[in-house]
Amino acid sequence: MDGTRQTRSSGFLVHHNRFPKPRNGQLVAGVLLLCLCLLLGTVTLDTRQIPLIVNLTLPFNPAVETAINQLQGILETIGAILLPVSLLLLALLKLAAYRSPRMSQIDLWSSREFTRSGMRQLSIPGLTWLFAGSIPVIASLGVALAIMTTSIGNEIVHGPNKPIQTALTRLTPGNSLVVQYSADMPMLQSNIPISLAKRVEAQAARKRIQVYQLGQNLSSLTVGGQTATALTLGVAVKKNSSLSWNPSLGCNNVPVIMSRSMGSYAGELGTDDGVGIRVVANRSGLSAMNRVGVVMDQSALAQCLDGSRLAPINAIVLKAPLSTAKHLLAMAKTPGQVATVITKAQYLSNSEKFWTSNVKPITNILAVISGLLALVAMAGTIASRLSRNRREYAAKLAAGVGVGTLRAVEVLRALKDGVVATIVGSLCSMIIIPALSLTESGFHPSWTSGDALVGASIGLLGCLGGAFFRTAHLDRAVDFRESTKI
Amino acid sequence: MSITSTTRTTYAAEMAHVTKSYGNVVVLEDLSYSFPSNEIVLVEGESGSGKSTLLRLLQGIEVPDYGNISLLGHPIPPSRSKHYGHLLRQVGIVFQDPLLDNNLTVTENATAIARINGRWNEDKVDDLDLLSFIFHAFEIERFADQPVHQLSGGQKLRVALARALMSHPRWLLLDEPTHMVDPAGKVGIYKQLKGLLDETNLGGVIVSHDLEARVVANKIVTIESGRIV
Ligand SMILES: Nc1ncnc2c1ncn2[C@@H]1O[C@H](COP(=O)(O)OP(=O)(O)O)[C@@H](O)[C@H]1O
Ligand SMILES: [Mg+2]
Repeated sequence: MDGTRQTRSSGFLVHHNRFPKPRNGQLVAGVLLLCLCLLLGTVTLDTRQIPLIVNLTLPFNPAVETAINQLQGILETIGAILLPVSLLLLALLKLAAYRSPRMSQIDLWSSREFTRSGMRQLSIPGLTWLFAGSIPVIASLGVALAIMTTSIGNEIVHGPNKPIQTALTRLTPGNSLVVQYSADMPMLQSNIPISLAKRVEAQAARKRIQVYQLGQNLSSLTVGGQTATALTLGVAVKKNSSLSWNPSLGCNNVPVIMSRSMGSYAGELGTDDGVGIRVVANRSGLSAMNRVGVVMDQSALAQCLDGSRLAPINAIVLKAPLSTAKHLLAMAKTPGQVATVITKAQYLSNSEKFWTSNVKPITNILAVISGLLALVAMAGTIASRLSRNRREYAAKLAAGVGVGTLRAVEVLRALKDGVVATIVGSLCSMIIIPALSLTESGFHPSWTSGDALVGASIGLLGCLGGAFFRTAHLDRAVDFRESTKI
Repeated sequence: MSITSTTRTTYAAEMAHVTKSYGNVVVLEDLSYSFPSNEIVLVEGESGSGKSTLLRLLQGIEVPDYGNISLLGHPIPPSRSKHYGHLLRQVGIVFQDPLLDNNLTVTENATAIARINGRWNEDKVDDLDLLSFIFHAFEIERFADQPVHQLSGGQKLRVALARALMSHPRWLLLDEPTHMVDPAGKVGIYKQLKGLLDETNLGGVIVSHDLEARVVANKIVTIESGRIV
């Protein structure tokens, strides 16, 4: 305003043009942001019609995939080592504390907050003698998250096998399968001609080996107003069984056993790939998260879903060891027919391989990302504790306490936090994981100790890594020259 | 029972031709002074005259531009070393701000540093006697189990003094300890401190403007234009 105005303050002069004018900069920044807002507003409205997509990709690299897939095992191993070692270290610390006041004080300091502002955490004062007396919320969440993503990944790999596993242990129990190719599994169509099946059955009957036809159809199911993708299994059914289908009644009232996850009742009607079905019983363990299991008479599956009584079947299940089954198939096979025998275990592991290579890398990446996030967050909490306690640390350094001693205090605190986070995170995930089943029918991730070890390694590595990283230059971070200055 | 161990040196600290400046502001210039082991030297001087700088040099927190400083018979090395930490552990230091752990109790605060430095052990009767002697002298026994944040400024200062004395120090460095205490409180604190110092024959440097501090002083000096006069 007034170019010649001067400010008089406590004896010396501040000339008007030496006083900074922050408001000009603020005006420019405000106008700039306003322009950006208008620009972005119009652009985003436009892109609702023509979306902007950035799609840069790198070529697939199997080595990276393998590394990612091995990560879970590595983390599990780290957890299995680190958790007992951590507890051992804490035990040794307490025992050493009994002998030496110095160790005792290191233990006490690593269990207590110095400042009042640190008290906002969830604290359990009674546990101070054992751990740090408070729950490290972020670390616990990191552990719970790691356990959850791991268990979801496991469910994605093992879950799809559930219906077929139930079929191969209960409905058509056996340990060898005649299939078309040795890599066959439920998601691939295997074709065994019905004529070959008959000959295998005849050979088996001579040797008194139990044999079952197993048909499969990936179909679309509607029952009780719900629609789902289904895995329809066809099994040989005894006459007079409630599941047996009478061809003379046609394809409109086929009796089925329905997966319990559909919540249907006996007598309820529905359709399976357009074929009318009637629920005669419900059974659990029949569903995977991608498929609802439905079981019907194999003859109905062939006639109604595949369109011919002579439609090929998926597999022949034999209650016989692999060598016997191989021998049997060799006798039954005619030249030119493609069929082979694999074990039940291999059939299931084929399926697991399929899901591992197709979906598991994605959940593994998610687990790694959540783990990294947890690491960063834990390092952040340690950094904020350091800055919160700067003056307290400075006072200790000034009184001759070594930097190494204070570092040991922080690392021990991280160790205690890591163990508590592992316990709390594991307990939380134990509660949350079953609740995940609510999100999708047939999706039943389960809490396993292996997954918990993955969580433990994330929690412990996060807390310890954060402490080592953040206290590497503790004397510089604390800057005790400044902090003790009055 | 005693707080001090008798020192062989007659001087706890010696400064010879010490100059210290920040940028082009010369704070201390060619300062030479020897601090007798068993005497309390009260340093007075205007604000900004360099009193705190003097104490920080004696602690080794700051390094002089020129000149030499020795503490407890050892030259102060130019950077922090193990040996230096060992020296610091033998000096009782109290800052203007008590810098206590507010969340811990009075006893925890008073004993923690001495314990971690291996200079106080609750299993030793002598050490326990020392604790009760100091707590009694500063009249803080009543608050022994209270968290420090519940105490007043004057009470906190007493805890900080107790903490400094608990390590069996050979010398004391107090920088405007009573800065935030009301006049009546100052009288009490210096009286208590005097009682303790008389009993222990402990020497040191106290920086203070307060007339009340003069009770404890064996010598009173003033810093003026960078020197002790
Ligand atoms: N770290 C620093 N950087 C620059 N100047 C400093 C620093 N510390 C102290 N000073 C200056 O040194 C002078 C003496 O400070 P100090 O010793 O704290 O005085 P006092 O006698 O009040 O304790 C003051 O002018 C102060 O501004
Ligand atoms: Mg000062």
